Amino acid sequence: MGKNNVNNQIFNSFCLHPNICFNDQDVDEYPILVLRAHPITQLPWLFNSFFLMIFILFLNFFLPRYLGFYRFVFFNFFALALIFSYLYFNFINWFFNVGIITNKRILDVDFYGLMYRETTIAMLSKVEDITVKVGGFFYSFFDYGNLFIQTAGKEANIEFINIPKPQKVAKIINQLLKNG
Amino acid sequence: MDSLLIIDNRQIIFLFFKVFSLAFSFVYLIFSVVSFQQIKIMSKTIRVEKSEILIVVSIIQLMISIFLFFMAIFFVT
Repeated sequence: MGKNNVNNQIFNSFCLHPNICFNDQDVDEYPILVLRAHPITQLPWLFNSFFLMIFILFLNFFLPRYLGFYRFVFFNFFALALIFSYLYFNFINWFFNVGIITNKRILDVDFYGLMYRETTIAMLSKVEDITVKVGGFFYSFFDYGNLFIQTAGKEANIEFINIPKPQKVAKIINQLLKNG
Repeated sequence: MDSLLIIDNRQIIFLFFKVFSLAFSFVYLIFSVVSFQQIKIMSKTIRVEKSEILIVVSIIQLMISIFLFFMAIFFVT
């Protein structure tokens, strides 16, 4: 799988042979691939923050007249803190919503907001079918899409949404299935 | 006596500003505490080499929220 020329930085969305550990990891289990949503899908919240900053800047032309110095300073501090939290919250959501493919199984870890966590696990031996869905201009241009992994029996199916290089991911899983 | 009863519009706006700044900064403080706890749990669920950065950022967020809360109490009149 070309270990020498791959991107294994943990802040990437397609991370081959990452230095990562997770809960319930077996002793002889090691992660091969960690996936996150493609960065292009994260642009909306970055744009929102940018426009909020512009809006706050715009308000700064009018508010000092009505609020006075101390209230104005507080308002700006508070608005900036909210924008910072909004950015950080979305980054955390992106960072911890991962798909992990190990030598034994496939995990899909999802955090919804700050309160709820869902982990779906499928053994590699139970994988029956892999479907890649790439549709639309942006999907093709930036090479990202959805990957659906269907499993046998009662094991849950796994969905990786908006992941980068879905064909390559399917190829890696197929290779693992052949090897294992 | 009459002068005590007369409250102009500016004072009402400032009173609302004080109440809202206290309420929102308190909610923000609660949010920061919850997100700090949750990020600690997330970092334990998925352990990466640079997860300390995320913990440090959430501590900074918590400190900012405490600062804002005290600012709302003492600074905003």
